[in-house]
Amino acid sequence: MKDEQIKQLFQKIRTEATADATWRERTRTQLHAYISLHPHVKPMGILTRWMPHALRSIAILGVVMVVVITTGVSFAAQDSLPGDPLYHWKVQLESIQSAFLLSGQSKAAFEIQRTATRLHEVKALAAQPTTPASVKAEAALRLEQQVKTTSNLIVRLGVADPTQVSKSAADFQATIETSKEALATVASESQAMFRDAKRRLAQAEDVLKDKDADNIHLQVSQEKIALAEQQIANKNYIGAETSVHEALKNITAAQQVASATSSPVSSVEPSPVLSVSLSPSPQLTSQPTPKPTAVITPLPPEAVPLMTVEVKSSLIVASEPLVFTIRITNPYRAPMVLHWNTTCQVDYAIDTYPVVEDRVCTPAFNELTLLPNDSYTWDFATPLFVAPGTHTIQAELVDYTVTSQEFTVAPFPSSPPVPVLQNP
Amino acid sequence: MDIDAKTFENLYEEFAQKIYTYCYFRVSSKEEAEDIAAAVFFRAWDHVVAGKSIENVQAFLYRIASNLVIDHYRKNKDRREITLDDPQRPIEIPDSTDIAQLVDQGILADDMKRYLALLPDAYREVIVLKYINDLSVKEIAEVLHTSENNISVRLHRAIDKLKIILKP
Repeated sequence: MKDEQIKQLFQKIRTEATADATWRERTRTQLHAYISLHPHVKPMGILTRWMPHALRSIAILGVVMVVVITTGVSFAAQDSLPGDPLYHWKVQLESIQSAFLLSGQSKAAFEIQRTATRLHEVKALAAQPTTPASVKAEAALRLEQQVKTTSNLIVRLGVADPTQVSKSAADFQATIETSKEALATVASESQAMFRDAKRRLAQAEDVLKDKDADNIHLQVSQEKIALAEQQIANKNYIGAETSVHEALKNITAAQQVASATSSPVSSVEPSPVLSVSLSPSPQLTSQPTPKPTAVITPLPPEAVPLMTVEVKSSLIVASEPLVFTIRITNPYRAPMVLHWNTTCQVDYAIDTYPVVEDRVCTPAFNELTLLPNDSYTWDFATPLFVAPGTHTIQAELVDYTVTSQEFTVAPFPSSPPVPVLQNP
Repeated sequence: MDIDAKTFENLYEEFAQKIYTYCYFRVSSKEEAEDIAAAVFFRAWDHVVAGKSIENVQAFLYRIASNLVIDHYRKNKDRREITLDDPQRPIEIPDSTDIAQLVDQGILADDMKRYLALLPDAYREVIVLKYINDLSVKEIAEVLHTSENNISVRLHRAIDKLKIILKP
């Protein structure tokens, strides 16, 4: 049964669900009465409410912040950044510290400090040119989430009791503005990379349009650029970086192919499949240039790409997310075009199969061309809710092939023993 | 979005039918759909009175409706299970593959509600939002607080499930 037919069925039955005019009128009247009994009084601006209570609240929050920060355990992890081995410990320690805070004021102070920490991490990574874009994007995402968490907490505190929050809210506002700048920097780097790739693609198209307009590398790079544009619009900077790299790779390949086809005969080996018969003529002073023809081995029937699952770390500590990549590679000497009737390309499950957990469906993506020896990857980072031990990622390239990869979950490490004080 | 009483009453005019339609196909009962749909707007006004802003009114109203439907299911769990299967009027799976013809004859449409009721609630919810309430995938994702990818997947599976139910 086609989707269109199903849609028709629903259009038909929709008309059955027309609300009674009587019900609408009755509800309208009741709602009007309810609104009259519970009028909405517009509250004062948040900062206006808090400002008059600045002095008392500053003192309280200041004390709380000092207490929270100075009583935190000092670990080497405190200075680590996303991508460092100890970073996850740093985040875990923050969660533990937060759990011991009881009052709203102390929680707000802690979250404000945590926001400043996330902001520092983004800035520190931005200053390191060798940091992979994916790490920067992860740090930016953490910062964004932390800003939201802190903002929501401050608003909740302010609504519940305006006396609680004060100048710190204005200070946090400054942190938010700085955070926006830092996040914009991460976004602009990805966008700059994308614009550069687009410019190079346009140049390649200009050069190749007369010589080799059907160049498959060119077509693939156009698809990758379009995909990168979509990913940037969705703030998927990690995916956009991958797409841009694929596009640039194909642009280079397109230019190489075009150069090879226009080279003089002295620099090009004639293809073994090319058969050229030239009649010698006294008027000719040089042989005509044979155009080399690529040898294309057709795909075997039912050809599928090679599929692998690459786990970032085969040993994961409980509570860490599972980070892995699904990779498909065309092992043949002919391009391979993959089609999906829907927009879902890959799927995976932990331990069980074929029960599916998290299909990757990209709305603009139901066809993929893999050139010979070319690869395509999907990255995943998923929280784990499994017991310690060995587990398996079961992955599926939807409608094509399946594979699996084992990984091990270590138990959460126990806390270091608390030193016992000896009696004097 | 800052909402006063007048604006809110206008919102009621705009969304009453849509919210009622959504509730109707979720709970399959006219009276219960009316009660739940009305409750949506009272709850929404409570939210406004509490001083909370609403960024996306449509998503917000559908979200309240979804939560109230879930509450309704919890309270009426036993009753709901019984009404799925009506021995007086068994569901007839058509043996003709010409669904379009059956639609024109109005044959299948009448049973469609009951076919919908056979779907798991998560699937039924997205089917109703997409094909009956005409929300886009993005809008559904905002209502259900999840990603567009997850909604695409759920719709894909829901349609597959429905096709299995409808398959002769």
